Amino acid sequence: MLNNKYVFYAFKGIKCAVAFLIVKTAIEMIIKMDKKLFPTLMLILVTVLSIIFELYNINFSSIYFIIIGAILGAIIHSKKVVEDNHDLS
Amino acid sequence: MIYLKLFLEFFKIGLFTFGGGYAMIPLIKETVLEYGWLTEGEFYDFIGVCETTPGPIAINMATYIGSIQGGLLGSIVSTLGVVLPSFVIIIIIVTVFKKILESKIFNNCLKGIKPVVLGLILSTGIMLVAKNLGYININDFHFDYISLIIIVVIALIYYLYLYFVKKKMSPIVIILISALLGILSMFI
Repeated sequence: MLNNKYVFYAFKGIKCAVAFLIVKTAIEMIIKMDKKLFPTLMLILVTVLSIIFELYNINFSSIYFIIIGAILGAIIHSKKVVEDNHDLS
Repeated sequence: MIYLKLFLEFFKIGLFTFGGGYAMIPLIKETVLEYGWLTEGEFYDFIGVCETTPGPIAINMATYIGSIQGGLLGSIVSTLGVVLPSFVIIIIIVTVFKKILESKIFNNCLKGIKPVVLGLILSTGIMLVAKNLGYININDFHFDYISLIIIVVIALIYYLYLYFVKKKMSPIVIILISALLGILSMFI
């Protein structure tokens, strides 16, 4: 079906729309995100690293990013809770 | 055995998808390219098709890849694989561990995952824009100005519509307009 000239060019347009939709969705979600230091740093780090990995064909599954994010989230936010409790006392 | 492989790989995708929708794209892409189930071009073409059809991207993707790799049974096991983790996890949480949702550790983990998922979506989007504009590999770039024009026109249409009509344009309409723009670009 992709050999059809019209279908080929229609998909060329659709690929551009998909790229726009993904970037637009990401930006909309980032605007709504908590702008504290840890999430902002994680966002920048993951974005830059995954682009570098893709550019240099380095195999690093996004599953690892998610697991690292979960572990760091648990450690950093639990510390915050402890600090907040200290502030209260 | 292809059915077991399809089931396990889509189960893994379902298990590690937080944020749904676009967050699944990097993970599905990795798997699909690793096994050679689709080429990268076919993969992005199919995301476009998924946007215009009902249902979540991951389920459409699982059904499609399952069917080209293993026919009807392949599509059934892949779809089951991708939905089973969330089904099982939610059932467990609802019936046994209601407290998990209130647990601080669980919520802290989710807080850590959220920016990661956003980073994965953003980098996928940026790379896709770069590929449309002519990025082939680190040493090769053939600038495609027609794609640049199409992206700019789509963005203009989307934001003008948002500004004047005060409503977000449906992705289906965006995809249809972009297909038309693509066909029109034949005549440039």
